[in-house]
Amino acid sequence: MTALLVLLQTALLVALAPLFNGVVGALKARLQMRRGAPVWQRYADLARLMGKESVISEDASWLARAVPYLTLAAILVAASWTPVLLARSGMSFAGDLVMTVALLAAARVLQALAALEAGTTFGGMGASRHLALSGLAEPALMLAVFTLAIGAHSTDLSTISRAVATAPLGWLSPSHLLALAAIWLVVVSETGRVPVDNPVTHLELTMIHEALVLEYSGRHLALLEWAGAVRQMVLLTLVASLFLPWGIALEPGSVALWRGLAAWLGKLLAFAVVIAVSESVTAKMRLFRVPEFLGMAFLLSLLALASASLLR
Amino acid sequence: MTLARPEERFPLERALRGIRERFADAVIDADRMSLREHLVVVPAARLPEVAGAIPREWGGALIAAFALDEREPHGRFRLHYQFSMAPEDAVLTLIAAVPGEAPAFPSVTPAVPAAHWLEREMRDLLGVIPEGHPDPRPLVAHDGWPEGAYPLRKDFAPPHTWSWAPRFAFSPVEGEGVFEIPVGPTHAGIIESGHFRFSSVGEAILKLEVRLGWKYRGLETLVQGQPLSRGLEIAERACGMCAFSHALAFSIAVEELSGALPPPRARAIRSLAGELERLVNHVGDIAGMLTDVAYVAGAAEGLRIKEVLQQAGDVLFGQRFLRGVCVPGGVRRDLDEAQQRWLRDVLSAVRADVEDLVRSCLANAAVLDRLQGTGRLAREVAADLGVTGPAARASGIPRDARRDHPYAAYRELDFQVPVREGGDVLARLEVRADEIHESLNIIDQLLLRLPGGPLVQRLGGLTPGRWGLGLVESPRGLLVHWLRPGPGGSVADWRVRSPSHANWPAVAHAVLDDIVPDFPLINKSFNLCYACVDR
Repeated sequence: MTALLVLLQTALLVALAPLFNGVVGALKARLQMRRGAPVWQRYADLARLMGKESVISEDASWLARAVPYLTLAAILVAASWTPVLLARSGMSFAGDLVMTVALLAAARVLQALAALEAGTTFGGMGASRHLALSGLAEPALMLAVFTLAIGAHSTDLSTISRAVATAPLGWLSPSHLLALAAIWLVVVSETGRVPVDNPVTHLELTMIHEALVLEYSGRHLALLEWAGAVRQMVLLTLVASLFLPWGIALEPGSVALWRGLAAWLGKLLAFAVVIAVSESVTAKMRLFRVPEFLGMAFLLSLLALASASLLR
Repeated sequence: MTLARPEERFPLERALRGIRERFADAVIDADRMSLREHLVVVPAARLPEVAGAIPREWGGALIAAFALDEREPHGRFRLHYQFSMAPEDAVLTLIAAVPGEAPAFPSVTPAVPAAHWLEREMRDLLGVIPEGHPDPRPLVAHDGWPEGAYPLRKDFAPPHTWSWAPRFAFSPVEGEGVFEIPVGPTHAGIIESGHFRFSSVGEAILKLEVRLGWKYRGLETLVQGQPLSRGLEIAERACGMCAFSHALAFSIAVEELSGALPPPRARAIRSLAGELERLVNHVGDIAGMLTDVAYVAGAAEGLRIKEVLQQAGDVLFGQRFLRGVCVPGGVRRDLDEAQQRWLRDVLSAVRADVEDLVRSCLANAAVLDRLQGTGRLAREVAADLGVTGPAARASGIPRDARRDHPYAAYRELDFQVPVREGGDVLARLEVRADEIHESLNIIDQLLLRLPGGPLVQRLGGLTPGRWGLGLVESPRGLLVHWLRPGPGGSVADWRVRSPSHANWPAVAHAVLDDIVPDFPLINKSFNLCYACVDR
């Protein structure tokens, strides 16, 4: 039963990841008064890429071939203990909050290394930008989640989720709200969204995340795109299950699980709307402003941690 | 408005007098080609000093320079350096002869930086060497261009074999932490072919070299010997986005030669179509800038308005890019009462939508932050490089051929020439926004009292040995067509100087002190045409 639930939750994250991007794209198109592509478009894109030949630079080593699989694997592992429907994990023995952050970082480093493999300019530029920004985003992410870990006396994701869900009005505390604001900024940056990055740009010189995958094609590109989508799902689900855990099932049971599913989907839809609206009404920041943006995320999470320690 | 002192209002007079006084020993001949164009013939050896004095002393601006192959029958090449003497409606042309054997002349570029690309083209296309040019590398001639193949020489025949010797090397910047970033000519998106070589430290741009000419088509060679009608068709296809301006400049050059003035209704429709083309371009450029800062809602609205305008062109003139509207002597399309009413309705909606769009993006702090101070082009640099169009007006240079060298119906129209001092991306966007407003006003005036009468004036015979000059303010700036007829109404020589040709070198200056990821935005704010350069 527990193993089945682990599988089910991971499968949901993996299967619905492209749909989330499709929904954001469709909502953005609506906001621009365009008809836009159907929400299923991302699945069609992945299928198309899967059927295409993959070209790898002659100068690249085995790493370039291995990285798409390694990246996807790292993110799948992190997804496996992310509480989606149920705030009790069968995978608590395997990993916790620190491990999630570490796996996401490992995937990122792998991608940056692979981007350097072909020896092209844009890969190097993208890798340097990506790592610089991640180096700023990660501490903010850690501190924001540690704020909750302090309250829950555990770094286990399900325990944190359960603690927040059961604490009456605990989410109204200043530390919780500050940490929520901080992690949202981090998620925006880590998923390559406006105002930090532009996910639909074709201008190589401005790319951050897109530049990392510029050299990939065919099934390798499909795997990396999918891995990126799953990573986004994991981050958003962390926000949903840790910071806004209402509706999540506390005990396994079909009614509770269905309710957990509905709540999770509802929260994701709300996130999609927030992302689509904010991507439509704002412009991308100048690259050198992004550190200020992430500095703000860090400051917010530091304040959250401080107030959590002081007001305990 | 304050009245300028007489000598400021008549710079041509001052320049001609000044040249006669200061370079008395250099002037071989002085003449007048047309109402507008005045000629001064000097020996090639004295070209740099005379040419250098015209912008420096008398405020002339170099608008075109080219060489002509006259080895048959005169045994020489001939150089033309054309200066606009705005605000006076006058063009001063310096003419010099270069020997047909081992052609070379002292380069004008050190004295007039605006001649930079023009002189490099003389070397590539005609083998006339500007000696002492600061950058002797080829401009159009890429690797693989055969030695000794000069497409604008009269005896040019496309060679059968192509050598692949490298002819061009980028000049690297050296030092610790300096990287070279090569971009293009193949890009990730659907962008024209251009190569950009950045030298950067981290994200800061130290130097940018722009390399164009990947798709040089040799239109100027192609037109030689063709009948005028065929010449017009080719000229019109020099560029997609400003096809009407090209056709108009070509037509004006032909009309100047034949002494035919198009009838009033034709001139009004020409102004109308020209402004429609400007609207399409300016709205599209604003949408492009908003796309590059990822302000997608504004960009989508801008692209929608652009589409409305292009469809209006299709409905009224039968062609989205307004091709085939303008012919020498007049226009081929009329607007009846119903069409005029319809256009007025379309444009009043466009006016409201554009005002909304511009207001919303200039009220958005995130958008403003990207535009302000980015890609600054100083007024002095812009003036030295002979920058034209909205890019010049955004750097405080109030030049506009519609006012300075009126054509079509602009003499009778009331309009402002918007100018900004900032020289940054924001200033270029604001100038375009203001010009959209002025263009709509101009079309309103035209629709209010469209003159009656015929659409075409019959052309008289072309006088061989003379030439015609067509000056048009295209959406990107001053477009120059120069045309010399041959026997039987064919084209003997045709030269084009497009505003993009004048403005490309300025992009490399505007990006200095900016960062690599801001380059696409800065480039878009100039929105230069590749096809106009690779003509």
